[in-house]
Amino acid sequence: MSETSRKLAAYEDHPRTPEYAALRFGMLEPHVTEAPDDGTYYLNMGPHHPSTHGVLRLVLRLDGEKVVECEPVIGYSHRGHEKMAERGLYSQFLPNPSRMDYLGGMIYNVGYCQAVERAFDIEVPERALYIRTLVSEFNRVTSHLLWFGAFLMDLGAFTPFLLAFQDRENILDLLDSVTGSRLTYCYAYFGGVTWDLPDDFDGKARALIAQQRESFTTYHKLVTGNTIFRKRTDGVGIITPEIVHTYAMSGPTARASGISYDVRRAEPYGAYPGIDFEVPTRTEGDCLARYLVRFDEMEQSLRIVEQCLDKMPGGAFGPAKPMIRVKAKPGTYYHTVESPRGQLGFFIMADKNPEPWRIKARTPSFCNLNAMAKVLEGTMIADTIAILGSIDVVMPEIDR
Amino acid sequence: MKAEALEPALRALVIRGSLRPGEERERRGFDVEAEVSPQGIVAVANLFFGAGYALECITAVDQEDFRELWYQFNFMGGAPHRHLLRMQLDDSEQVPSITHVYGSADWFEREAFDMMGIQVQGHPNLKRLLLPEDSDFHPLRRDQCIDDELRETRAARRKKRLAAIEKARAKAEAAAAEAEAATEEAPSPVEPPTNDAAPALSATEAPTDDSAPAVHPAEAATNDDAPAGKPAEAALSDEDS
Repeated sequence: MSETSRKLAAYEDHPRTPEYAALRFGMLEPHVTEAPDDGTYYLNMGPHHPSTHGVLRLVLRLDGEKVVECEPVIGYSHRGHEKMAERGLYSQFLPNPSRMDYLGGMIYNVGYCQAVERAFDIEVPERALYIRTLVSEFNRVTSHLLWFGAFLMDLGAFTPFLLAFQDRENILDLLDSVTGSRLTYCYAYFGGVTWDLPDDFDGKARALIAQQRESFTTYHKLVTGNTIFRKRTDGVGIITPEIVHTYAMSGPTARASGISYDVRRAEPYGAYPGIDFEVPTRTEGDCLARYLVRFDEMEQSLRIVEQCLDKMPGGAFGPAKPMIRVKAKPGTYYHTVESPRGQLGFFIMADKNPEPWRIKARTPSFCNLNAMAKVLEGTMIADTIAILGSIDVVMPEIDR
Repeated sequence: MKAEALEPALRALVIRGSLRPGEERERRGFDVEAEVSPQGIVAVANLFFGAGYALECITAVDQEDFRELWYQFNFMGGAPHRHLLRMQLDDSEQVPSITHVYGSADWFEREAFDMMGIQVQGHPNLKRLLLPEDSDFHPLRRDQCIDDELRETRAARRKKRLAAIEKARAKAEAAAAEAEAATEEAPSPVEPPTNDAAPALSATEAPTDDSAPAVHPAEAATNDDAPAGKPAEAALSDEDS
């Protein structure tokens, strides 16, 4: 009998006591039973807190309202995707990646496909590359829009959430007409994409882009100049380039701290080598910088989509027959793409068999959240919500 | 420190395999792959940290007889320069923590412990990361959390693979004995035959088995359940499906 279960047995008849909860649900004893002598106390935030974006638990040690220590506790939505990968064919893992990150599902789907294609030399027609890039960028905009709404909601503003959701809904409808799904896509497959673009796609997409640009102007008028918003974000939660480097943070969070690292630029994949875009970078490293970098990124995404539409080549969009079994070559492979939250990598270890030996997903929020213990030290508890919202964590992607 | 200065220092820490500069980057996605010893990882981490590299990922892999850790360092300040450093661990072996060098190692090491049961020495907070704290298994090990059918398939494959490796080893030994007999009859020139396949930057320590052809460490690891460095070609003939 383990130490925990022995202690648990003593509280068996008292399931409503905090001691029971502490033992049963893994909260450390001192967090509830006794406060430290120095006047600090523990506060348990989450896992079902509305602003923890899913199921994240933060164990905060507070001195008044100041955070002395913070420990993120994760794993509440662990589903074992990496284990699932090992028990099926490479193609049977295709629906999984988009379930890791339900906001950037298309990019995960495309990233996994490209990892396998690159490792095992699978040809992809030019048109498929452009279609993938196009839908990925639309997906990035939807992800950032949801982040925008949720972040403002964390800060206490309700209207932007509703506006952002309306815009997001329009893009999701468009993606639905292409892929057949709204959130957890399985559109790309080895060697191409499942369906071609519908006939009226070009016109619809261009109209949507124009509409989006107008919305951005509205958002800037509504939010960016707002005094309350500025006071909640300007100079709050500064992440230094040193922290970014030590914790291998990536994505908009890193770019807001002056690290101009974007996988689309550093290791171009898909159709990106032929496309002109900028990597928005800021040096302040605070919540406001992260907010502005994401807005600039959405503009760039729309630019990329427009270029894809202009340059869209004709021809096949995939192999005539779906590739169920890939011809695996033994070895280790790594492929990385830029997800809305940063660098997403797939580490594949293959042997001769049609099933992967091991697939590891290097997910961006995992690293970004790891740094939170360091970043949140010394901030106020109200800012904790703002900082956590500004780095845009998606828990299922961390827990996998 | 620039990449040029990094390589000589790194070469001293590589124990097996070789530094393979970017010939296969297009396909494999990294520039350099090599094996280091568990004890050497702190020095390696310090080296990369000093050169401005980030610790991108740590992947734990179960090779059934032993565990592997793959450390992934990448330069994020400019052109990417990704290093994959492999390390082999037996069940009882511990790996020193590099949390004090790289903050990102904290959760990666905890994940390796949680999922694969890798014992990390000197980690400040080594406990379960994703599973509940009272779990008593490591789900990503090959023999965990699988049904009987898959277990049987894997056991059959493993048996086949081991047999193929044994066969290859016997063949190599026979060939070596034959070659020895031939050299006794007619003494060859003093200079030993050079291995053309060996890359320019070879490790400080020569492979233990001279007769073994140069095998890519990754391939050796994936095909070969015997200690790495042994010939793995035979395993390639394993046709299962």
